[in-house]
Amino acid sequence: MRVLLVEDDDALAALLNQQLTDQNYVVDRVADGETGWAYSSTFDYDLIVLDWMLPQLEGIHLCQRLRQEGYGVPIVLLTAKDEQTDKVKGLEAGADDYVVKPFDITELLARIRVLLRRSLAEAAPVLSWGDLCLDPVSCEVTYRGQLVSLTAKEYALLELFLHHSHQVFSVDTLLDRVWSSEEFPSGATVRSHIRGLRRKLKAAGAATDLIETVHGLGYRLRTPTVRPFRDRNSTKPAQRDRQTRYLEGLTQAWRAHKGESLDRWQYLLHIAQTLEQQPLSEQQHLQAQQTTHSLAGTLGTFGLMAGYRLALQLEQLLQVESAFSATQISQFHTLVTTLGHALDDPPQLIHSEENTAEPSTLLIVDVNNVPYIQQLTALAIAQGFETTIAASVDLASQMLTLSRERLLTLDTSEKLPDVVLINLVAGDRDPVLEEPILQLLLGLIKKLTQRWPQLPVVVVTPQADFGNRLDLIRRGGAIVLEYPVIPADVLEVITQATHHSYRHSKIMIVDDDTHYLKQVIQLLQPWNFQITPLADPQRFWTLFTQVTPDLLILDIEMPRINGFELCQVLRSNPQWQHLPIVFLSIHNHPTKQDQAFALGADDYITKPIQGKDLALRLVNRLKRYQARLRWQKSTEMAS
Amino acid sequence: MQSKQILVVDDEESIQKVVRLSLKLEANWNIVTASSGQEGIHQAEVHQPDAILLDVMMPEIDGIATFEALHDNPKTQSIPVILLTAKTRAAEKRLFQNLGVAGVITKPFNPLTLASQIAKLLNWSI
Repeated sequence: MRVLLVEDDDALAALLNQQLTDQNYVVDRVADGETGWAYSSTFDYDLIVLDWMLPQLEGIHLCQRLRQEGYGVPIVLLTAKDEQTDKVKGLEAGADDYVVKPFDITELLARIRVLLRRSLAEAAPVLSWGDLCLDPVSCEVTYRGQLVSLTAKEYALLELFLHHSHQVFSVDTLLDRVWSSEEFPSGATVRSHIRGLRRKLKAAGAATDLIETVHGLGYRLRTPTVRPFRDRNSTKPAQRDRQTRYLEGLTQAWRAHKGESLDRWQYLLHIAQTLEQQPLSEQQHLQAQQTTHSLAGTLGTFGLMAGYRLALQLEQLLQVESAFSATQISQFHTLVTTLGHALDDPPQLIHSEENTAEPSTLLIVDVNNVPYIQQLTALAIAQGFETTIAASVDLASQMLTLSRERLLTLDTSEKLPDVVLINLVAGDRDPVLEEPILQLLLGLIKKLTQRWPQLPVVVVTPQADFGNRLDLIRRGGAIVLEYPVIPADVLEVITQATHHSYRHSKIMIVDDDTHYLKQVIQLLQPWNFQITPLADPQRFWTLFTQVTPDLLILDIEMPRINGFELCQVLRSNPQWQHLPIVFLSIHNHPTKQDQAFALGADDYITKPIQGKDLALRLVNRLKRYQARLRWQKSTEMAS
Repeated sequence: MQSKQILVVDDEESIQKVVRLSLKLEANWNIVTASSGQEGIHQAEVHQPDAILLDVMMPEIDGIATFEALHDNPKTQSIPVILLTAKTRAAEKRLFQNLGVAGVITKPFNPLTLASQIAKLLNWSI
């Protein structure tokens, strides 16, 4: 059971942490309401212990916000306030229980147990597996509607199997999970109960081996209907078998060695806490470095990729020789906590793409070092985004090359992020930024969207009413998310934005003037399109079918075959009727333009044109084309 | 083809296990393990494996020093050595290759193709 403890009093927090840990709860402790919000909206907890008086965001407001967001986990409010009205306020804010300080710790623990039991009973849906059903509220088991009478242990075993229907449980794990620490059963007892369970299920009409023995590993549920998997595109049977065996072996090895990784994580948590008090000694620094390195190696090998990425990030942080800044300290802490949660992931097969695919890059502009954004950053890293933080507007401008006078550059090392996230949240107590800094950030958004029109910009803001949204859209069209929004949702939007990014779109340009071709390539170079130039229109078809571009730019007057003819050829083929075709010409005569549109052109641009304007017009075409493709795909799927 | 024998030198027992599992399942190779550079040198002398898979970052004698000792030892110098190194050390890959190792494999590796990766580096067929 995971508990989030939000308490700013260090002494009380340490005591509660110890007591809860002794009761086998896994505890994350944070000292302010804002971090509490960041944690509770990111990770899954079974219960939250929340102090009323907290810095930044008061416990009662955090409680209200969690309930408004539909967060149903039990919350215990701790407070020194003993007035009846306060109690009412607390309960009205959505707390499930209310404990007045000073309190008897055993009473608090008892209340926590009651709340957990209640919430589990409420949350528990009927568990089913084929014709087998288990109702956790009435504690009844049925097979094809017929009641199966089980002993308490048989019931507990079956419930565990149904809760984790694909997991193999060793005898030791079953002993741990089903028998309490006061009982001393042997492996034979477990086997005897499994036999009893199988017998009763069989008597009710189920297959003999609904509980399957996995030799050398333990027991699991057998899949009710065995349907052979036939997918010609999928991996071959021999390889699938190898994958399954590998995964079983990997899971077994992870179970045996997870403790070592947990110990290493504990050490890193200790380092994170030390950092908050004093700088690390040389010895501690070195050991922390080695720990993160080994942890990354182990987690990567076992395919716990989120943990692997977080450990790598921690290792990178520790490569800095100088003392940590306050931002780095809190960043370290957040990464370590997130890593702790990632250790609960199951081992997985690493596919080769994992190693080769270039990760999406994310630039986060956060001038206030808000805990919420730190949590979002850790999550982004865990999900595989290559994440950079710009802590000032100047730094962001520099990273996005906004400060340069010349827009044209041939510097190929210049690399834009795939998405930019701009945080307009000042903090929780008063989320609205001060006017001067807000104006600076809004200015940044404007410059950014003007300079890089194709670059997706996501803005998180506490002011997202119609007027503010309109203002942001006028500044260049960003994706606006209203704070509070949970980090996972922000990342989902970011993921979508990277998928719909128009960078790397394939653009083919046909122009017999090689000098002009070079010029256009230079103009568009900063936008990272994949450009295929062609000077000889006679080679058009061969190259076109090889490249299959996302957009075609045509000159009009070319020797032997002119641009209008090329356009007509394409439009005569149903496959290319919707491909964006843009004419780029020195002729600005309306008849030429009319002719182009009549033949099926999507846009007509007159030379000379600035790089930015050209890019913007191309991006507009690409947007509509891709929206069309998506729509087409969805209607195909629907039919 | 006759089954190969590979010596895996890594101070992490868990990683030894995963490598063993991968090589066994993919190519049915025999695996000998060692948890330190020193033990690795000893095992290499005794078992004369077909190849050695050597972790770079190990306490006491690291992978590079182990490789050098294996290279200077007449009993082991002809055994090909492949280094296993973390992705963060990718910059050092060229440096490692210049030492005269048969190859470098970056962690995390794809477990289902690890044997093929080794075989490719050593011109073996599996």
